[in-house]
Parts: sequence; C-alpha cells; structure tokens
Amino acid sequence: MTRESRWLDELPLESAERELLVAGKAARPSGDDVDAGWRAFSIAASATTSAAASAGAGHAISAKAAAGTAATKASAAVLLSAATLKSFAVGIALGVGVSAAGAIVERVHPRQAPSASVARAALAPGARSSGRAPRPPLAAGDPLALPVVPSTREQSGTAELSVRAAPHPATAVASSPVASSAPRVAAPESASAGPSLAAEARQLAQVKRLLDAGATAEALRQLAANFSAGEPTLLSEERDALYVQALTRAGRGAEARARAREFLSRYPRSPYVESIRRVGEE
Amino acid sequence: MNFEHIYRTHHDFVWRTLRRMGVSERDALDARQKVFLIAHRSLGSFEGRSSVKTWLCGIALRVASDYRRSAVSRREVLVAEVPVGESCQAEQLRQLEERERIAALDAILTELPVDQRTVFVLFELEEMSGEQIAALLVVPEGTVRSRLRLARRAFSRILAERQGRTACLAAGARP
Repeated sequence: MTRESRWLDELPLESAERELLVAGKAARPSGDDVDAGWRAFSIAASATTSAAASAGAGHAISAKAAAGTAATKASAAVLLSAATLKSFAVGIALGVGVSAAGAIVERVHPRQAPSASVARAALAPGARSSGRAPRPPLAAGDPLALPVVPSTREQSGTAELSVRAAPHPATAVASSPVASSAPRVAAPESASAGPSLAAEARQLAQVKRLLDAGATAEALRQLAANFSAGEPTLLSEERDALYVQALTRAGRGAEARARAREFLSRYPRSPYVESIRRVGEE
Repeated sequence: MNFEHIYRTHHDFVWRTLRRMGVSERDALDARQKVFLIAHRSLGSFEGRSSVKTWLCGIALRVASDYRRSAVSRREVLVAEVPVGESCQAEQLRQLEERERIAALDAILTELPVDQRTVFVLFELEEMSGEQIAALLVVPEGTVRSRLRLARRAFSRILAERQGRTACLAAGARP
C-alpha cells in the first residue's frame, strides 16, 4: 500500500469489500435528531457539572454549555415559582407498542413565555394520547393547590409544540427578562413530604426528554437519583411506568419484567396497563 | 471553544466509531452521550495538540473498549427494533440491504484483532491520517501501516469465508 492511499480507492468497483466500506462510511444513527441529542446532552452535562461548579472546581467549559446549565436552573426556578404559575396541569401519556412513548404536559399561564417554552419542551414528539381517566383534584393540603387534569391535548387551552419545535432552553430563558428576575430555586421540600407536584413533574419531564433523545442511561440515573422506587407520590404511577420503559430500553429485561409485574399489581386500572403488560409477559 | 459546535460537528463521527468498534445499535446513542460528557468534563485539559476529532476519537475508543469488556454487550434484547415509517417497498428493500451490509461489516470487524480493527476503522472508514492514528494510539506510523495491511488481508479473507458459507447454504437449500 502507498503511504496514505485508502483501500476504497484501490478496490475494484464491483468488489464486495467496497460495498461494505461504502455502507460503513455512510452509516448514520437511524432516527437521530441532533437538536434533541444536544438538548439531552445539555441536561446531562448540567446535572454532572453543577456539583463541580458549586465546589469551585469548574473549568473552561464552553460558554454555550455553561449557558445551558444556567438556563436549566433558571427554567427550574421559573417553573417552581408559585408567583409565575397561574395554572398548571400535568399528565403523562405512554404510547403503545415498542416505543411506549410518554409525554408530560405542563401547562402554564400563556403570558409567562419562559415557563411556556419549558413546558412545551417537555412534550414528547409522536406521543399518543392515552385517553386516561381524569385524575381527582389535588387534596387541599397541597402547598401549590394546583389541579391535576388528564393529559389529553384536546383539553388544553394553550398551544402545545413538539419538542423539535421548542427553542433551546438556553436561548429560551436567556432572552427572557422574566427568567433573569425569577426567584432562585424554591426551598427544598421536606423529605417526608416528598417532592412537590411541580418539582416531580419537572423531573419526570426531564427523564422523558432524555429517554426520547436516547440517553437511557442518564434517564435511569436521574430516576434513581430523584425517586425512591415504590414511594407513593403524586405522579408515582407515571414515574413507575417511565421506569419500566427506561429499563426496557436499556435492555435490562429481567428488571423491566419485575417492575412491570409490580406495576400491574399496584395500578391495575392504569391506562398504561396494556403496554406495561406486554413487557411483563416477555 | 464552543462545545455545541463540537457536538454538532462530530456527533455522527463519534456514533460511527462506537458502532464500528463494537457498541450495539441500541446502546450507541447512550455511549455517544457518554463520550461527549467525558469530553465536556475534560475540555479544560484539552491542550489542542491534536485535533478535536482525534481527541474525541480517543475518548470514543476507550468507551467502546469498556463496553466490549462489560456484560452490556451481551444484554438480552427485550423488544425487537422495527423500522419505523411508511416507506415504499423499494425504499424498505434498500434499507434492508443497507442493514445487511452494515451487519456484515460489523461481523467482519468483530473477527479482527482489536489493534487491527481500530486502525482499519479510523483509516478506511473515518479517513484519519496515518500520522493522526499513530499519535492517538502512541505507536510508530510504521506500526499503523503494518496493522492496516494485516487488517485488509484479514478483512478480505473473512469476507470470502462468509461468502463461501453463504454459497454453500444456498446450494444446499436448492431442491
């Protein structure tokens, strides 16, 4: 071989080697969405670098990535601020079949652009409506006293965009005066009370986005970090369904099946029963 | 350095490198995420002595190596992946042939020794230079060339064996 000549340049046109090399060079991940991938990466990078940054161990990361980190935190602050929330609804719809896609819909007051963009970003593309039965309203003791309504999009009065159309969190929040003046992240909830509805919805939306972007490992890490399995919370049904979905995608079949069986016995009337049952029967 | 630009420029390259170095299709997106997270964390220590592509490649090779060593590569497949979309029959056929070629390529690459496979993938598929590969693997350029020569030979031999087996099976199946 000559010093830098590629095999492809030397192989006869009709050779099988050439065919395979050409296929290998052209290979791309199917269904890969670079925007969604970058968003998922920003979220994951934000999660992994925030601890180091707070310890003063931050290094020369890109301005864009840093902005993404700040934006995520600011988005959380906006979302968690009761002052900016006039109405709020949460729902998750798990799709049927292989993808078992889910969606978390966070509806916020239309005048609060940053919150709306964050909420829209939580919508999963292609997620099918589950047609689940309406949940009962929250108990009066809930600190936010926010109603929970089903996730069927027909009931939403606000425009809902797919995640593909959602702006990058950095640009969405950085351009907003509300974001810059938003209060810092709300005080942490007491451990016994569990996470608030808003916090839980936000965390689950993040998990869903990660799953949609193919970042299964990070989705599982966040589920494990933020939720105790089996702990009853406001959205534990959705959380547990996402867990099954994430384990399935991660190829952790035995765990997925065990969780699926647990899910079916705990939520026999869940709208996700059909898709979860398929996993349990594998 | 704008990390988003790095991500957008090299995400396909990183994915391909991971795939050709043995990361399964279902795990490749997660592995790619891992590569970029590692790169993001260590961006401060990137001295610019190599190109960003070479730097990412080094990380991807390590991630793929860890992957091959772990039990991850032997995971059971719980749900079969089916092609999505309503493409026409010709398009489906094209996609099927493409997948078969990729599967054959991966099967052959798997049979190559890792050092030959690495050089082959980076030189022939990713068009990195011998000098870049030598710097990345910390070996002389002569070693890169000899590994490449061996890899090409082995590639053709394994391919011929596979074709021979396929021909035998086809002949045996005839009435």
